[in-house]
Amino acid sequence: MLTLGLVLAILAPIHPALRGQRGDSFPLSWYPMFSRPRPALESVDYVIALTAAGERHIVHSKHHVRGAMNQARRQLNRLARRGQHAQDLCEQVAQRFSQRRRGTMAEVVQIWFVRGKFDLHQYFTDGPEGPKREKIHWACQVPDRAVFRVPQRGEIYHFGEAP
Amino acid sequence: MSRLRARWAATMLAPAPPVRLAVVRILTGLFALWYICKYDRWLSEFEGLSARVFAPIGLTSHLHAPLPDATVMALGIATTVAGVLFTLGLLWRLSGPAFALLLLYTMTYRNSWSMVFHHENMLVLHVLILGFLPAAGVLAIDPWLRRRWPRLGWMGATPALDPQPRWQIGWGLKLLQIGATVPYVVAGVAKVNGKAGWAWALGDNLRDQVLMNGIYYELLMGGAKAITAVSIHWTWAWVLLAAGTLVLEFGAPLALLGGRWAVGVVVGLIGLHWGILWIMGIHFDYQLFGVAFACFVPWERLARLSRRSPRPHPAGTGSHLRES
Repeated sequence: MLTLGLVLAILAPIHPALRGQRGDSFPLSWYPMFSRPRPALESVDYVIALTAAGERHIVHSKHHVRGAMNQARRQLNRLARRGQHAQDLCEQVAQRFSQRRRGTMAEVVQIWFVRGKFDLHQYFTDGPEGPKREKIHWACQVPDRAVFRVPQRGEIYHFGEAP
Repeated sequence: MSRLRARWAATMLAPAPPVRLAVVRILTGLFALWYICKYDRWLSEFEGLSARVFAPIGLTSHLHAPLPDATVMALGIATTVAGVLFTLGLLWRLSGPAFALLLLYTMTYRNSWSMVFHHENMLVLHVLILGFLPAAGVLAIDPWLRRRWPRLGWMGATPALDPQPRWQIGWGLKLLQIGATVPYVVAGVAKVNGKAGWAWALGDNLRDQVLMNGIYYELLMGGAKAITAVSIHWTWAWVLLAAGTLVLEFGAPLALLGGRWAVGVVVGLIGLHWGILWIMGIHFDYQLFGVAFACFVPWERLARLSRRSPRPHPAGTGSHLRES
């Protein structure tokens, strides 16, 4: 009976109703990784730093969230849902960069927390290009640096793609 | 039907010596301790991250906010101490269940920060099973303690077990083997239950997943693995990798039959995890190092083999010459 119980418990998450409130659980999981078909354009939440000259630099996740890649992406995804959380993250990074006096990060004037849409095949075949489009979760000025217009939450930028 | 039942009983209840389970206890305990100690702050890593990204699951679903820092620290210390006792086989009747439950709770808490670490599931499941099995009757401190101080039984020290094979040990090992193989079937079902269905075996889905993983590394961690850009040009390789993955996942329980089946499946699964590490950079350490599959190894035979084939001893050779 115990043997059968263990087998059934491990198999239980196959049924959607038995996957827990959040759609997956621990230590009994339905291992959803690799199972979902990927869309033509993949959405990724990330943070970029802009210099006064308009250069874009990707900000490493260690500056704004904790954990390894998968954990970082989930946290960013969650923080993007609410304006207040997105603003907090943006300002935290901006505050940190305002203290930089050397290197590229000392030239950064704005921080953008965005969701970019990427064509993965094109990105890895033709060499790293920017996103097809980018939606602003939050953007903020780095304190005590040159002031430019700061985009509003929800603004969308298109790159080589018809709006 | 009765023949099938007899076969099932013979497979599930085949006797095994206690030393086999004891070795699995030591290896699993050592791995769990290494795993929780390799992170400087394994449990308080997310301290100060606020409740915004706290998403309690499973056993921690009762929580509405992160635990206080002091509680997290106390849980971390208690789990580590219980893990040491578990590995040593000390006060087993207490330390076995205590480590099993503490590791389950603390790991679930660790997985409640917006992301489930699927590489931790099997370790927790195995410790949970082991903690309630008679795994400290040999190669443990408890039997020695009980011989010296028989009254220590009330503190949870277990007596020595007869080294002869017994069905209870064999059954315990089978439970561990189920924990090491059946989750792969769940992963396989998830793949073919998705929109792609059985066409998942054609490899497109797997390739796109690898590319997606690559873009996340690019945008969050400073760069993707070089192989990501190379792998996009593989064509038939993706079909082989995807079809091979499904065959391994659905065929994993065949390892329960033992013998060559077990060897084939275990080697295949370890290879699968090394492949995932190579292509995607994802560490399933418990499987990569083979600890997850230690329950398939007849450890007592390895010990016998090492005793049977000693190197020729110089003194022995000398005495032989003298006799002749």
